[in-house]
Amino acid sequence: MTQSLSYQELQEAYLALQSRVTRFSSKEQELINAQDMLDQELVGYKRMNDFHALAIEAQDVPNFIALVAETVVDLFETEIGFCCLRQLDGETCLFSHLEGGGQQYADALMQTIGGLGRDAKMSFEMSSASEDVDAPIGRYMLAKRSREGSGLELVVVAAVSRLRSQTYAEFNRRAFTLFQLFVDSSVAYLESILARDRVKEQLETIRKSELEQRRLSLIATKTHSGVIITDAKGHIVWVNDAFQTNTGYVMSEILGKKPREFLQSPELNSPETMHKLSRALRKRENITIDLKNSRKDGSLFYIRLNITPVFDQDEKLVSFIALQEDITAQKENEAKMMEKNEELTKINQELDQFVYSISHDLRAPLLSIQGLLGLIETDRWTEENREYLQLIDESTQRLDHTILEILNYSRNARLDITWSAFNLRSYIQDILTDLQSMRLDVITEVIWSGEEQVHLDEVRVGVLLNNLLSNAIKYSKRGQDDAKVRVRVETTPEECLIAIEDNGEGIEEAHLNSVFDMFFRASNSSPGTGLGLYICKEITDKLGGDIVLTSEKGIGTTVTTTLPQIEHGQIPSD
Amino acid sequence: MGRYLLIDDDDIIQFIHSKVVKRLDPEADVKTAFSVDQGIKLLDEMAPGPWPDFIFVDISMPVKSGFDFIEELENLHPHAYAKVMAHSRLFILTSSVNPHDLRRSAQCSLVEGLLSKPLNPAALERLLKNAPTHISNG
Repeated sequence: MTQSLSYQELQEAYLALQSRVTRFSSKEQELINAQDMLDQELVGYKRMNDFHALAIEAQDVPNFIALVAETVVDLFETEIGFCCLRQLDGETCLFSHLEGGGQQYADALMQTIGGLGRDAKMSFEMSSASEDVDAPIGRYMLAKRSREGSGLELVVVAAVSRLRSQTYAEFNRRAFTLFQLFVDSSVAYLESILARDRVKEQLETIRKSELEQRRLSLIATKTHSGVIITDAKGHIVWVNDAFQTNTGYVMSEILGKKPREFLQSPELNSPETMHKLSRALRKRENITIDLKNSRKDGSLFYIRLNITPVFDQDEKLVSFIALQEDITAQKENEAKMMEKNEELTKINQELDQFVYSISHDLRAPLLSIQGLLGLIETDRWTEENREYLQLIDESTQRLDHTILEILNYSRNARLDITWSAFNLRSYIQDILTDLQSMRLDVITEVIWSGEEQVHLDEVRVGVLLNNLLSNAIKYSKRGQDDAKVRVRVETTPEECLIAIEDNGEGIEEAHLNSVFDMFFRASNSSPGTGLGLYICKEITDKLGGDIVLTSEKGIGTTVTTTLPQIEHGQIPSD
Repeated sequence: MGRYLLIDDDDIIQFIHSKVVKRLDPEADVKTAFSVDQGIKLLDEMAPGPWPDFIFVDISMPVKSGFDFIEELENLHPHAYAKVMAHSRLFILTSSVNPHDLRRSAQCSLVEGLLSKPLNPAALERLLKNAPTHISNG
C-alpha cells in the first residue's frame, strides 16, 4: 500500500532535512576548524619536541639561551624571539640572544622587559596591541621566571613588529598556554644545565684534589723521610715505606699503636724533650723537635720530628702527620765537631800558655845575660874585648826581639779582639818616647785631626804602632841632622787612619810587593827577623783594616794603615 | 841607705838585681826571697823593725806568683799589707809581656809600677829620684 504524503508533509520533511543538513554542515565546519587547530597545535608540540631534543644537547648556557630565542620564532611564527638570563636585580645581563629584528627591537625589548614585574618570582604577560603607533613592537608575549635562591631570572619574549601585528592573529589563549609551557620547560632545562655546570665544577675540584692527594701520597711513599699518619688520638693509621725501612717495623705490627710506645723508650730522651712533645700534641700545635729513637733491632738513631695536626672543615682534629728526618749523621757530626772544638780550644789555651811559658823561660836566661853584660866593668878591657861584649849585647837583644815577635804573632793569631776606649794621641806619644832611645837624632812630629779618643784593640794597636814606628825611626835618614819621622793621624767615628812617614833610604820598587811577606827582609844592613811588617799585616787583617806601604828609593817610606773603629754603643763595659 | 826586698825564683837575676842596687846605693840593705812564702816570712820577721823602702816582685814563679803574693798579703796579712801600703814602694819586675799581666798589675792599688827585667841602673836611678806616683790610701 502506497502511503502518499501530502505536500504539506513533504514540505515539512524537506525543511526538517534541510535544517539537519545545515546543522551537519556547520558541525562539519566546526570539525574542520577543530582539525586545523589540532594540526596547528601538533606542529607546535612537534616543534616543542624538537626543542627538547636540542635543549638536551645544549652545551652551555649561552648556547641554550640562543636556542630558546630561535625556538620562540619557530614556535609562534613571530618576527622576534628574545631570551636572556640576567641577575634578579635586572642590572646585569649574563647572556642574551635576540633572534630576528634589529637594534631598534632590541632597545624596545629592553624597555619593555626592564619595567615589568621586577620582583615577581614568576610573571607572564600577554599583551594586546600597543596603543603607541610609533612603537616598533606591535604585540608580544613575555615571561619572567626566577627561582628562589638562585638570584637569576630568565626572560623570554615573543614579539611581532607593528607592521605585522595588523595581520597577526596567533597570540590567542591557546598560544599563550603553549608559551607558558615552553618557558616552563626552558627554565627546567636551564636549571639542569646550570646544575650540570656546578657538578662539572665540583668534579673538577675533586679531580684536582685527587691529583694532589695522589701526588702527596706519592711524595709520602717515595720520600726518604719517614711519614706516620695517626688518628686524632695518636694511633698509627699509616706509615710510608721509608719509615718501615728506617725503623725495621712493618706496618701491620704497628697499626693502632702510638709511636711513643715503641720508638722512644723513656730513657732515650730527656724529660724536658718529652714534655715539650706531649704539650704540643695536647695543644694541637705544630712542633719540630729532635729525638733519639730506637729501631726494632734496638739500634739507636736520631730524628728531627715534625708533627702537624690536621683539622677538618669544622676545625675538628682528625689526624696527625709526622715527618721523621734521620739526622743521625748530622748529630754525630755535631758531636764530633763539639769534641774537636773543645779539643781545639784546649789546644789553643795550652798553646797560648806554652808560648808564654817558653817565651818566659827563653827570655829569663837571656835577660840574665843582658843584666850581667850591664854589670861587667869594661874599664880595663882592651878595645877588642869591648867590641866582643858589644856584639854579645846586640845578639842577645836580637834574640829577645825575635822571641817577642813570635809571641806577638802567636798572640794576634789566637787571641780574640778586645775593644777598648783609649787616647790614641798620648798612646802614640808614649811609644815615641820609649823608642826615642833607639836614635836620639830623629825628630818626630805628630799631625792630628779628629778625636784623640779611639775605640780599638789597644794591645794589637800597640804592637802595630811599635813595629811601624820603630821601623820608621830605625830606617830614618842617617848621617845628617835632618832624620825625621812624621806621624799623621786622622780619626773619624768610623775609622782611624795612621800614616807613618820616614825620610830614610826607602825600599826598591822590586821589593814593594813582598814587604808584608813572612820573613821578608829588604835590607841586610840592619838586624831584623822579617816578621815585623808581616805581623802588622796580620794585625790589620784581624782588625778588619788595611795597611799600605809606599816608598821611593832615596826619598823615604810611608806606611798607611786604616783601622775601623767599633761603634761607641758596642763597647763592652769592662 | 835604702832597704830592699827582692822576690824572684831566679838566683842569677837576684844576683844581678842585688848588684845593680848596690852599685847605685852601696850601703843598701838588700834582702832576697826566692819564693812568695819566703818573701812573706821575711816581711813578718821585719814587722817590728825597719821596713823595706822598695819591694821588687817577679810575676812568674813556681807555686805562687807575684799576684798571689799581693793577694796573700791583702787577705792573710793585713798588718803587713797596711805597712807596705804606707811605707813601701812595690814594683812588679818581670820578663812577662802578657798583656793580661800588664792590666792586672795596673789594677792593683799596691803596685806602683811594672818594670822589665833585668832591672837596669838607669831605670832604678829614675825610680830613686822620682817620688812615689801612687796614692796611698792606707
